[in-house]
Amino acid sequence: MSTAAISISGVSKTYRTGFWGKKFVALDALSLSVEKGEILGYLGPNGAGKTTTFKVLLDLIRPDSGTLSIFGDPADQKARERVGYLPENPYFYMYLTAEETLHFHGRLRGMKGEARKKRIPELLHLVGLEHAKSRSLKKFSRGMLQRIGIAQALVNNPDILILDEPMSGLDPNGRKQMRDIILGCRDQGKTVIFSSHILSDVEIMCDRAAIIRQGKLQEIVQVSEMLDNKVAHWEITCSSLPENSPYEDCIVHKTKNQILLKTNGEVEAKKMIQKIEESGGRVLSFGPQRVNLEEFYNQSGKEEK
Amino acid sequence: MYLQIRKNFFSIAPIVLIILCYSVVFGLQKHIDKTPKKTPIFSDISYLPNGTFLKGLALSYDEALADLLWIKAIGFFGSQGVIDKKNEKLHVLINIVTTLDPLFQYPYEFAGIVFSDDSKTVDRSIEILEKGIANVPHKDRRYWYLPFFMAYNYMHHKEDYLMAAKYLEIAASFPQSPPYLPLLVSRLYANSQDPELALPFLQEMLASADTPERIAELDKRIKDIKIKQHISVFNTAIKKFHEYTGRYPTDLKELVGANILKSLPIEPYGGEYKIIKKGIVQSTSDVDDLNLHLDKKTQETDQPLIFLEEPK
Amino acid sequence: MKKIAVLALNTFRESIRDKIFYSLLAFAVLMLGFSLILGNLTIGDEIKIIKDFGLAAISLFGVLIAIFVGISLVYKEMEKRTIYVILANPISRYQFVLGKYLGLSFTLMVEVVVMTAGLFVLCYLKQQLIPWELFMAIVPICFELQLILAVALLFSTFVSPFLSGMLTLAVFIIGHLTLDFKVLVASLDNPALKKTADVLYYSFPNLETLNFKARVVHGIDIPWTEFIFSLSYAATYTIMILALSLYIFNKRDIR
Repeated sequence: MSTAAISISGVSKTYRTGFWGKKFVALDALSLSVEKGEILGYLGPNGAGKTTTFKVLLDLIRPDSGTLSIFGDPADQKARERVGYLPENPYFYMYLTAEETLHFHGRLRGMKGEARKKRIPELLHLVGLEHAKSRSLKKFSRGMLQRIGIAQALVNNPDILILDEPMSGLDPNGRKQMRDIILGCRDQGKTVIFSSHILSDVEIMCDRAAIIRQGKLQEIVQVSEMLDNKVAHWEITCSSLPENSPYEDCIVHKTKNQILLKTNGEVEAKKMIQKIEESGGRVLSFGPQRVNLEEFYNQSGKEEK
Repeated sequence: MYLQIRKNFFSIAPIVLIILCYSVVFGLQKHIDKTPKKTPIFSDISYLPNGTFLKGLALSYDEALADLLWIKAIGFFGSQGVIDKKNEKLHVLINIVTTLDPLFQYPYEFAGIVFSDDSKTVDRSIEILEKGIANVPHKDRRYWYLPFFMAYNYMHHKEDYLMAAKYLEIAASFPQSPPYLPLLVSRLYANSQDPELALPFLQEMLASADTPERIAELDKRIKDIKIKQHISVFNTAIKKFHEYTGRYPTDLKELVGANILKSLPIEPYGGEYKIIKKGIVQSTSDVDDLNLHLDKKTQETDQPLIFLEEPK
Repeated sequence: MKKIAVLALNTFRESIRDKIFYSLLAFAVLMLGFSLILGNLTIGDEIKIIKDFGLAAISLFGVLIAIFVGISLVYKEMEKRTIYVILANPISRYQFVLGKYLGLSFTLMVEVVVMTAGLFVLCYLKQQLIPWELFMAIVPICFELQLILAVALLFSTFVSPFLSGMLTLAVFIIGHLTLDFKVLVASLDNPALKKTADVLYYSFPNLETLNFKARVVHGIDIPWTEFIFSLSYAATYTIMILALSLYIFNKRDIR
């Protein structure tokens, strides 16, 4: 039997807010498992319970019921040795320098001095903070803190990475680097679960995506399969449309000399092209458009309502 | 299973530890309390700077500081009794407290009584009471005690009956003072050397005494004065008896029989009064000499003599 | 154990970088200024007064630091959200709390050592003698500071720094007054008040048992048994408070 890297089963958590405690269900019998070596995107609207899931996994929050395991063992202190965590908007001790922060976390993960001396420069290089290694974190920008955050999560080369909004606060270049780091981790056989609001990132990187709403797991999407199989519609870009054409409804976007049309089915699309060309218009581009995660995500949201 | 036990252990261990620690703490506390500390809490009092200096240091919390020192003082004197005979420490402390909070009545009263126990320290009592009379607001319910005890000091220790009467008049002018005060004032003016005049003062002191030792001591003084007073009444009665009959009685009961006395008083210590030789009465209990010469100042009246009732 | 040490050292580093030790400067100025003023205003035994005030200042500064830094120990970590990254590491909650506590307690002890050295220098300059016997008062002060720090930590695990500061200060003041209160009430005839005094007395730490200042300065012998008992009292009390903090903190959700 192959054990999942992370397995969450039937986990519920209810918060009481305020003194008299209006109840708020953060997790509602959530079950989810992350397989070894996969990248799982964790999606959901704000307040759906993404961060709570991560905190429950890390024993920061004690669930009311349910079990959590990491590589088949209970998710406790010992198991956390194999987990690296990057919280949403990570906060660190501002009085430490970048290098000191990594040494501190290395020590807390039980790393020996030599291992740390070897590993930490590598990490600083990886996240591109070599130039700022002895600067105090007080002077770091949001993006730099995010980088230190991922470096700290990777410090003892853990098997599992839990990343809460890893892309937030990063510039485009930083996002690419973060993507590369995450993909690099998969190449090393690590398991990654990350939450994000940036669906294109999830599309690019993930094997599967889990969608959570109101503390319940709503759907698990096989990202690659979805992208491979489903053609959602066809798109045609042309210079002009015939007079009184029946395609006014299909117009998605119109500029001075370009018109974007959308239609279901290949046959229909080909007919359209024919009509356009007959009327003297020019077809600039034509192709199938695959289902993207955004549509899927929005659709599943509508169904819920 | 093992995990469950481990989890339970970690949630129960602190509770067990807390209970364990508390029992040790409790035991130690009891033990420490049992071993008496050699030094009184106020060993350091003479080093306290004087009140005016402290007033500056107290950062406007003068009254609170005064109260704090006062509570310490009461606790100390209440639990350990008065350690040094001359009450040096109390004197220092009272000076500080009354300077920090001059409006606070009780310290004046307390010190005024304690220092009036002994004729050696009576000047301190007078000094403190004077300060109190000058500073305590007249609205204070217990203000009248200050001139009242002042009067006692002048009468009993200084034998300055005029001053005593003056202070007593002040005390009597306060509505809270007992109704017999004006009577006492007139008696003091009329016949200043009557020993029974001390009685109401002592009774008032007894009412505000707070340690068993003080209560016992005041009680003894009251009883002694009563005996003296009884004997003086007997002496007057015997004189009258002699005038009427031309002979001295052999038994005190004859005085009642001759309608000179209404009844015979009870000896406060439980002893009895006897005529030892012609016209001289003595109690079977020993009485300290009160330094008052009773036979010299017997009163000449024709009214039947009564024993002074205790006030209230 | 090693991880506790790592956390403790880091907390100590924090107190250095947050410039807590500047308070020592205030101590130095206060002591020097005071001894200079006393030089002109001598009322007999100057060295005695310097010792009194030195000990008082050590205790007072220690308590202030213990309260002001102790109260933010755990709460600040939660407020600044630094705690997530720390507790996500393979460390347990109790290691975290003990690490924080030990780090600060080390800071406090360094403060006390420096202040003591300062006091000794002052005494040496005045008297050409180092008053080693003052340790009989300073060691109990250290124990008291540990206890106060534990109380601050306890409150800091579940209430805001401001409130826990007030509460810790209250414990400090009540702890010094319960004995007087009990003695005072013992002489009154009021059973309800006596009961209250007893409850107060046994539910708050009796900090007066750790006050040897007056006796030490006057050179009065302190029985060793009393000394040892008082210290073990404080130590046990501290452990109890720490256990209570651990218990509370362990139950908390770090949201």
